[in-house]
Amino acid sequence: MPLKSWKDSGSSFVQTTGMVLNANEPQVIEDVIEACRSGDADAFRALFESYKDRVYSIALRYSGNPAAAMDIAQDTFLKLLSRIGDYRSEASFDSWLYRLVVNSCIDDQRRGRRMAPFLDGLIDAVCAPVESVLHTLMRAETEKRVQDVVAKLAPEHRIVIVLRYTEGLSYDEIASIIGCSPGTVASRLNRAHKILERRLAHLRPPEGGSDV
Amino acid sequence: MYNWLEPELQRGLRAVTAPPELWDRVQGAKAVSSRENNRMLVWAMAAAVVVMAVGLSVLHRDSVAGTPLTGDRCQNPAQLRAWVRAQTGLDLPLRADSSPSIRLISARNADGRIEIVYRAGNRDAMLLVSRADAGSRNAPHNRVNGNVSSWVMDGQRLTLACADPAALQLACKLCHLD
Repeated sequence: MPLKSWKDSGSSFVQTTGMVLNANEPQVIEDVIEACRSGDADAFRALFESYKDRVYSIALRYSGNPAAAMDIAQDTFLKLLSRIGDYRSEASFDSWLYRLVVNSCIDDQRRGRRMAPFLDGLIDAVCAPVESVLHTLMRAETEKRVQDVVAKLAPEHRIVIVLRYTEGLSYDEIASIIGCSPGTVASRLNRAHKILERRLAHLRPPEGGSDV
Repeated sequence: MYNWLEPELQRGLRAVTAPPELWDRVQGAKAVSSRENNRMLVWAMAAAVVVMAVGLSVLHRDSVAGTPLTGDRCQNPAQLRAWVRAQTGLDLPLRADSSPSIRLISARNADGRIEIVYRAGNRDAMLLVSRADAGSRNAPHNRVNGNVSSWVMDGQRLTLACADPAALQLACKLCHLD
């Protein structure tokens, strides 16, 4: 397939904000990857636009720190660019990219970054309409509490929680990304759930109670 | 089992939109990375040039120094004389019309000392030639022992060794007339 032809495949990737690939069209993704390998800057931009939110979300939920998340996401895309030649099409590109993110998260943690409090939710809440401010603040406070507790989990527990709840991945997919068995993923998730249940016990609704 | 926990996790850890400035960050880092790669490439090329230069100089030194002179070039006394002069600046008075009893085998430069291996009749012989100490006067042939004779001539120290003491006289025909 000619190098430029993926750009001509119509609505599969063109949006007003840039080029976004349709993950349901594996051939298009393969073509973009091939073009990216050949140094096509537009192909890299297309991959970036398609995956930036997923990459940034995992980075943010893992680090609990927007500045760290930016560093991790940046590092991930640089790795993508430099290692795209290593990607083999028999594996899922999503899984390959998730592995890059996970490795960047771990690398960032090893650099000893101090996790800063995550305040974005509170800032958003303050900017909400007046009638819902109280509810939104409570909601934001709860979310911040969840994020803080998740950020304090051990890395091996945190990453499975983030991949599960931020990305909604299956046990098999998580296992493939972090390189362990689905049973290990289940075990780590179970352990993480127990820790979170204990540390977030104050969020647990009263038995038989209902929201007021 | 975690009925209340899972919705909290889904809400608290929901996916978000990447900030627009992420692209600029990646582009900026890419450019820096590219510059660093280019700098690394320049350094690598410079290092390669240095290594090649050192390697070539070693090869050149070996080719003009340690590597023996053999074959036709060595067997021609005129060429051997020119080679010794080029190597050390010494002028070895080899006979241009070599005696039929002398057959040159090889010559090599060992740190400024020329070693010429040859056959005198059916005996092995070796002539060592080096620059004499400054101020050394000519000294006549001095038979160190039955096999070895040494002398100084025109600023050159020469040592002649032969496998058979009886053939030492014959070995002199490398330079002298019959």
